[in-house]
Amino acid sequence: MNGYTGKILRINLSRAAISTIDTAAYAQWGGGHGMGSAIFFDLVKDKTITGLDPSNVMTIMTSPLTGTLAFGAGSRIELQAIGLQAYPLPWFTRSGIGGRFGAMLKFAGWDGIVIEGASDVPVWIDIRDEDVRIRPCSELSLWGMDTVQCQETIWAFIAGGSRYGDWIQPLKSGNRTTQRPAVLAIGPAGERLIKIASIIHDSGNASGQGGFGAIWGAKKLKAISVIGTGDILVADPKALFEARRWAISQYTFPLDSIDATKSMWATMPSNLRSFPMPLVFWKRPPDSRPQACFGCQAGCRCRYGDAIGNESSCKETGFYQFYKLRHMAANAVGNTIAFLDSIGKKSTAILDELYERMLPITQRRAADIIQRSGINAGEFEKGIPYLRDLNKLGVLGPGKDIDTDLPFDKLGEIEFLERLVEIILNREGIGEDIAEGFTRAAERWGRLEKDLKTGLLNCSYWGLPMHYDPRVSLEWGYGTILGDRDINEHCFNPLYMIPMITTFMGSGPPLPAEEFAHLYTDRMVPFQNDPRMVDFSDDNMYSESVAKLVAWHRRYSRFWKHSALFCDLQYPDFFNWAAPDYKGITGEGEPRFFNAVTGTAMSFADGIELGRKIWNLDNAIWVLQGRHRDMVKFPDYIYDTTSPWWGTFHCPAYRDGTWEYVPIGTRSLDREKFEQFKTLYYRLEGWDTTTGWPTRSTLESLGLGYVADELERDGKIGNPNNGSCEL
Amino acid sequence: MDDLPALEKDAAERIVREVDFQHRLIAGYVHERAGMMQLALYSLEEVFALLNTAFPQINLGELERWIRTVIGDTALADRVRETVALSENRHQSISRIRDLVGLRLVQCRKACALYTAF
Repeated sequence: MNGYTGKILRINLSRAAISTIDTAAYAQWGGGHGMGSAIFFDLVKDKTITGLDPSNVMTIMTSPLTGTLAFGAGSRIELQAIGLQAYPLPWFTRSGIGGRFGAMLKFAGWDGIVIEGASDVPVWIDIRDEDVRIRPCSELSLWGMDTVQCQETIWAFIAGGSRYGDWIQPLKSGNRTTQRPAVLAIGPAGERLIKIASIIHDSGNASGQGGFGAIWGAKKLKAISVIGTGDILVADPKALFEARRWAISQYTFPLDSIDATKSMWATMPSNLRSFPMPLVFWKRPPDSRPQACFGCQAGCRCRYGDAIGNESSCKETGFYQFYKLRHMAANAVGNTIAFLDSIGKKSTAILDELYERMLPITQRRAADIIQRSGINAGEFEKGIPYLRDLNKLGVLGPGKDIDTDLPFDKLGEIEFLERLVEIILNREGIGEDIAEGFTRAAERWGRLEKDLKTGLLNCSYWGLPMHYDPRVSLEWGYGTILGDRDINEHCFNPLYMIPMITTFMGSGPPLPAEEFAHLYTDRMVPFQNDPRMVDFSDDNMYSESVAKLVAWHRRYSRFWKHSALFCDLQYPDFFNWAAPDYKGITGEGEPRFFNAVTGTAMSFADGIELGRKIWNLDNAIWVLQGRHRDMVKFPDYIYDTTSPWWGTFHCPAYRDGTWEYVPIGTRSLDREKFEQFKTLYYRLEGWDTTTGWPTRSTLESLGLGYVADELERDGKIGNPNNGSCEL
Repeated sequence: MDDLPALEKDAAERIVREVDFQHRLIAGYVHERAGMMQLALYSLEEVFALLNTAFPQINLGELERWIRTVIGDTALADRVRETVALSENRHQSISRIRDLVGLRLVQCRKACALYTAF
């Protein structure tokens, strides 16, 4: 049991009962998601309950690597429960958080937390090493606080009047630490059961998808605080350090001789990071510095002198970008003559210059507003343009069919966002509708069918905001619609992003298309001999090869990414700019770190196979919730309209006996062919091709006979005669 | 933009106006991690904002048509078409068109007397 603490904290809020689960009982799942799914399956007898039902169980799991110096795998936790956000059925779903909560939980002696039931009164959970207490929020007046106020109040409660950096003794009889508790908290959105509510940790780590904040709200759970003073038993510390040094020396740029022409590409997703590089969509002010999760060299967030926008990254920093940019552009062109005169330039590449003078504090404030309220930035990113389009269409606004006083003349300024958040939190006017998420709001407004037909509502899978377009990013779209949520796994993005960017710049991709394809597929066990898995061209969109790609992607993610908890920012590292042959660490790196910590002999392929088992268990849960293949469809606009990516989206493609890069940015999916693809996929997984339900033989081959029994009791076991034949 | 003819106030006001829903221009931008963002553009200022994002996704032929027929700026549309034809790659096209649009907006603002000292 190296890497594990040996016990999982089990808390029943209905009975205020605290107990433990022996981690060994679930160790076969390898940590994280696998353990969470298995525990959920065992504890939730009726999988058809809603997310707000007290019987819903949330698991918060670490991995054996959490809290260690495994490269890019030391910090994350995996949260799972029946969610609230997906449409029409909110599936059993997942969300991950980085930061320091996972490491602190391990240091306190816990591999995870299982939350059952619901409290009658608002409570928070206070974990100090072995000592665990369920405390009423009333003693600290936590209920009603935003996420930052809540965490600061808990820090002060536990650390007393000590200053940051001072030693504190969380338990009078225990060890000391200089750290402050790591806290997960919900804001007003979660308390008020807003279905797009997040759980926040520190300033900017968010469990965004699934509406988990509202699930805590329904359980009357405001926060979980943990402070630990222990350590983690690593099987072979020397091997772990050697692995880390090997990763740095072989797969990152030497910090004293960074190749500027290549290092700029280190911002690409799924690429080991050489140095801290905040992933923010605003220009960093001078008084800022990178901030990283526990044990991570990447530093993908940032802290600022004024603390505004602290630790937010990616979507939180970009969801308001365009509208702010629009306002800046309007101001900029209005002032350009005077401005250009003042700097003596004749170029109109003015925004970079203006950023220097007008640091985009609005965007940072916008990020803080949603983090403090505990609202999912992804919903706003697509929802705000939807509101604006409806306003321009003349159906939404003062006195319109969808009546609202939202100040569209202030769109791009903080006033608009503050008012939008206010009406949602207060469930005021259309805020009551948006509190259900933008897809359900469209349904309430009688617009869902028509706006998903045209794409005006840009929610491309399960009612969730488009992240990557299924018409272009096949593995993303197919993986999402065959799963439960926007997968948010960037594993294969470089396949089309590198050609897109290099073609845009005029240089072209760094490798011939065939080499690029093999760089990925040669390591994709057990399908490694099929390079056409990454051929996204029009002729190959519905092929058995793409079915293998989707299956591999689900399996890799479910174990290595969601269970072993390697960070999506850096893994899989197929294509690595720092490696002389561009061959990244994936395939060799993941098991090397895992085995150094656990002392096991897991191979990369073993992990992929365990991922298949976890994926099968998840699919069984969705089937028990009510899934059928007939539901697995994209909205009409994905089939009936052309994708609008007129830039330079190219991908490797095999045509007429040769590999080349071909454009893929403007196309649609074909309904009938996608149905044929689903049949290929279900057959590949060994599932009933008419229903998408798993068969007994497939489940039993994975050691999941007990899952087959439950499916059979519900009349939802797949028919083995319906085309299932595992390839 | 010496070769873009100066504008009278009426023409400038027409060029910078916000168009209605039916005349919006669909475009987008991409970030290598945050993903794909599709947007409806309702004014030339918004086109300028979009062209200042990292990887704008816009049909340049459609942009030319939109400027010509919706915005009603034939001179700018001609320059956009000419720029696309003469550019060596998309980055160059986008950069040059961004500058063209930016300076056209400056002309408009000047004609409308809407600018102030920075």
